[in-house]
Amino acid sequence: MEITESKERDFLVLSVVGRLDANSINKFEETLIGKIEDGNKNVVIDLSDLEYISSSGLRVFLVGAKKLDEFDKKLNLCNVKEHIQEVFNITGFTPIFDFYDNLRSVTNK
Amino acid sequence: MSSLTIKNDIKELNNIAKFIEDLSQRYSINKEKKFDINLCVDELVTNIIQYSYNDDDKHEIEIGIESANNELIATITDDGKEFNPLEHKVYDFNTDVSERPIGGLGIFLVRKKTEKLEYLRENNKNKLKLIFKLENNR
Repeated sequence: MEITESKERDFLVLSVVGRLDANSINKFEETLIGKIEDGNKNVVIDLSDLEYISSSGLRVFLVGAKKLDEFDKKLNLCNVKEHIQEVFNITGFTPIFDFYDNLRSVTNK
Repeated sequence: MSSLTIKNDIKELNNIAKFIEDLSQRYSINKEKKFDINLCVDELVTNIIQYSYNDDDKHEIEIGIESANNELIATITDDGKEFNPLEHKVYDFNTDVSERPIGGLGIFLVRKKTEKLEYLRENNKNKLKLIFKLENNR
């Protein structure tokens, strides 16, 4: 799992590449929570290249969403592949996040 | 039947992914089903590694996979403490999502994604059998 970071307008963009499982979540959690605590409140996670997620990965998204909720912000997710989206859907996690088809529709909102 | 023996080390999840990738090619399993099989084995093995042992010793977990009659059967055998996921209380959708205990989520996903799940405690080992239906397009 690799994370790349960029800025688009007012948004911090984190792109997660590869697999999010119990073996790889620590680095993702540290990055995401660290960035929010550093003052980034407009956060979008680009999942174009996320191939795999387990419940351990879902938990990190939940922790990030709860952290942003303290500032009345939602965690934005974009470019989510169908089989990844299904995991969010069947676990009932979908309403916690704002989903977008692509990065532009988040940063232009 | 193909099998993979791993240690109780979370880094082994990478080897499980590779094992399932190779078998999916052999059995022409499509990527959605491959994802489901990997997810279920991952969730159960992660639970075993994180919660199943009362010591810090090295343990082995065995994963076997075979396919017949449009089914794929995965078996997971471990020498951890007795744990029957079929008796695990069902994930509660009535509570607020942020309040739900995260531990039950993996087992919930396994129940959703498998056709059938069987548990056996034998010779001080947990044996779990996961049965997946393979469609004609696999």
